[in-house]
Parts: sequence; C-alpha cells; structure tokens
Amino acid sequence: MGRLLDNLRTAYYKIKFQYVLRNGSFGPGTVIRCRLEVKGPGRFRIGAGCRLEPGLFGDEHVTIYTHHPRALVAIGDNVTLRATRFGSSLRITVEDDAVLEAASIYDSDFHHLKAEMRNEANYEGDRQVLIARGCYIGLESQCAKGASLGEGAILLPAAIIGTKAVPAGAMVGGNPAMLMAGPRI
Amino acid sequence: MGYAHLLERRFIQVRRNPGRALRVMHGLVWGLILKSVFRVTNPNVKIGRQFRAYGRLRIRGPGRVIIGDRACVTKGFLRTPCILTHTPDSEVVLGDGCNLSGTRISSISSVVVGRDAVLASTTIADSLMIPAPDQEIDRQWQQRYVRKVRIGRHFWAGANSFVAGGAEVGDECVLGAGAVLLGGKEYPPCSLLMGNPARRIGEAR
Repeated sequence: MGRLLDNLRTAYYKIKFQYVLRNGSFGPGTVIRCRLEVKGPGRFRIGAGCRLEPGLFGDEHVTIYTHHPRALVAIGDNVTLRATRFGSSLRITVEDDAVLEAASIYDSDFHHLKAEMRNEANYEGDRQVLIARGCYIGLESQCAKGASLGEGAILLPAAIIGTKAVPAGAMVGGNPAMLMAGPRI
Repeated sequence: MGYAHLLERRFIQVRRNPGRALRVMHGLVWGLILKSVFRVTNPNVKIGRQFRAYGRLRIRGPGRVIIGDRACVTKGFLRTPCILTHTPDSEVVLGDGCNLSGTRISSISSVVVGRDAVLASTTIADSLMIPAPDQEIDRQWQQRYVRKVRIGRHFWAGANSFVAGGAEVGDECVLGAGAVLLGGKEYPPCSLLMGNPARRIGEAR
C-alpha cells in the first residue's frame, strides 16, 4: 500500500516537473516518499536511484527553491535526501551516494552586504556549493555559499559551514565549522 | 490523614485558580487518551502516572520507551514532540516530572534523561549518522557512530538546542538556546553550557 502511494506520488511529480513545468528532471528508479516543493525560475536535476524521504521526525519535506533563471540544483545518482532544503541562485552540486539529512544548503547570501543596495535585484556574490561523492550532511546543519566538501566528508549535526573546503574523509562540526577528526577516522 | 490534607490543599488551589485547574484536567484527560492509544498500538511504550499531554505525541519504532510519572508533553515552536527508536534494542528513558515541549528524540542505543528535566524544542540524537529505514545497522557502524546519551537530573535545555551522541551531562546543568552539545566529553554538575560546539562557560545557579 505504501509502495503504491510512493509510486503514484513519484509519477505525479515526474509528470508535473518533467513534462508540464519543464524545470526539472528525474532519473529512472528515483522514489519520492514525501512532498516535494519546488519554487522559482531555476532548474533542478535529480539522478537515478535517488530517494527523497520525509524528515526523520515526520513533519518536514524536501524543498528546492531557486532564485535566478541560471540557478541549477544538480543531484547525482543514489542520493538520499531527507527533508533537505535547497536555496540556489547559482549552482548546487550533490554527487553520487551522498546522504543529506534535514539540512539547509544555499549558495548565495541573496542580498548585498551594503544596506543601501540590499533591494537591488542583481547580486553578484554567489559561489557554488559542491558536495562530493559519499558525503554525509548531519541534521540541522547548514552549508552556506562557497562550501565544498571532499569525498566522503562528514558534516556533524548542527554544523554551519561557509566559504571553506573540507578535505576528503574529514569530519567537521561546530559554528564556524572546524575539523573534529582527520581523514578516515 | 495525610491524603485528606492533600485533598484539602488541592481544593483550595482549585478555588483560587479554576482556569489552571481546568487546564490541568484537560492535559490529564488527553494524557489518559494518549496512554491508552499507546497501550494498544505499541506495547513497548510505558508511561507513568499523572501523564499530561497538550496536543500530539509521536512515538515510532520497535525500541523501548519509558516515561516517568508526572510528565508533561506540549507542542513547541510548531514542532510535534517525537520519540523515535531505530532498533529493538534501543531505549529512551525519561525520568519523573520531565517536561517536553516540541522535543525530538532519536535513539539507536540509549537515551537516558534524569528526573525533572525541562526540554524545550531540543533535538536529542544518540548517533552522528541516522540510518536509512532499510539500512542494516551492523556492529562496526554502531561502534563508529553511535554513542549513548546520559543526562542527569534537573537538566534544562534551551530552545533549538541539539544534543548529539556521547554527551554525558551531570546534574542540574543548563544548555543555552541554540547550543550544540557534541559527544566525547563529560560535563560536571551545575554547569552552564553554551555555543556550538557547547563549552562550559560558567556555573548554573
């Protein structure tokens, strides 16, 4: 019964975003088990065999918000998203086999730093976010603009990471995020 | 004799503040309903006497959940209080008089909170990584990522704080709002913990 509902929901979102709105694409074998909320002028791409699940505690869903026509949220194959929130105005890349908990990932500040320029539409300070193969993003953590996580890196729960590069296999946590354990603990 | 005295005191309290008495009655009735629902649906849940509930409480999973006497459950910050257990061996034990408002607990091994704890909309997870529903939890994975959570009595956790696996907190500690308590450390009694990751910044009086 649950599987039937999931298949129906997946088919509904596929038809909606891939064929009617034409702003996203899903690979074969992707299952959507929660609400998928997509807003904005940008595009998204979800690879094959992904799983989009509701939050661990059952009351959240996956949201993909784009704020610019050039924005792209590219998600690789076999990625698990659990109520992850994306806010993109440039590019967010999630590579294969990553697991993302209920975290916020955004690649822009969305406003200019100077107060008098904050209402201007064109803000040119975006930096893309890269989450490499096999990463794990913990609960309630945030990846701000310019974050780049190496292969197999672990972002601990409630960590906040900004313009930083995390080496492959490292474990980072805290605010601002710092190295908690070296590669391959 | 003593019981009659207590009843008399209750009666005076009710006459002084009938609205509060009504609220307490409401909570007790809801608590009774929730308790009987859990008795039918999930035999691993044990809830003590005088359980008060205002709104929903979500308990999922095959593990044991024990809530002590005089517990109170409310909704906080639009979050439903939620207790999750991932394996049949996992357990969540909340002491007597604990106060949950929008608290979310996820347990793979064990989460133990002492008595009279006040937990605001906190997230308590005893694992750094959360397994997928169909993932097999083997011993190696568990050794690497899962640490037990032990919290002493009179613990107070502020809003939006986070307690991760491996936290050992003494009695009468206070965790500030938005703080993140990461594992691997022991915190002495009566400490005021703040920041991300949380450090002891003073004494809680």
